[in-house]
Amino acid sequence: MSETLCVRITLNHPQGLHLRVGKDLVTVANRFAAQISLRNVTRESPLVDAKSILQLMQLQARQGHVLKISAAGPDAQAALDAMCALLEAEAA
Amino acid sequence: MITLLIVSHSYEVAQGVRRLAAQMAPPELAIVALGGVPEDGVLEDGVPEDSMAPADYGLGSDATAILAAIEEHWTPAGVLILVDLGSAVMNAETALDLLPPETAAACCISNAPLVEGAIVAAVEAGLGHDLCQVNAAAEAVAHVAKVQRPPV
Repeated sequence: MSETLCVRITLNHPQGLHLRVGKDLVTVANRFAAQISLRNVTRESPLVDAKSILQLMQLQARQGHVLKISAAGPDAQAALDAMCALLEAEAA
Repeated sequence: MITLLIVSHSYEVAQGVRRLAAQMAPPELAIVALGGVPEDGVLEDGVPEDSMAPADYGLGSDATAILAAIEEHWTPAGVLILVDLGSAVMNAETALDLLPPETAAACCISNAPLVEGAIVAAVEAGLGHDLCQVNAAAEAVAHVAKVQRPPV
């Protein structure tokens, strides 16, 4: 069993985790074999599957909310890097 | 990749849902919008269908138009039909009854709410998931609370 890697990231986009970013996250997440989960730490949401748009929409993440992204699997590090890169690019 | 067919009583609703869904999907995903019925006299005036304006459509749905859309856009991967209400459902069922059984077998009328269902279906279909997977994800939307309220 591979270890679970985690990273925390604060959403800087004025619209938070809006639909299009959600779609991009799901698309990126589906390129990896790793199990990728997200949690809205600010809302104390349950863990959701990053590969499902339906579950991502339930995070209801707004600007300033902290997301915790976890990944487990052979390409977990690459998956986390890709997810973070996407969210950071979105904030710029 | 499957095809999405959006069926509404309203031309504007169908077009709007298609735009929302298209934003969530890769360009290769076919999303077809079918909304409203031509107002009386429009077709008799000889206006070609592809140059009809939104004002040329009244509210309603039409089994023949649904049938034609499925025949035009059918793919072996399947067609997921997302409907709004009542007679749109019945007309979609009628259209499937008029298709050859093997064609109809690869079509599915979804129980999903139209707007949210189309958005989820667009993402799932764009990922290359099969008809049953896409429909299951879209239908699951109905069980998600839009507004999170503290328990009473």
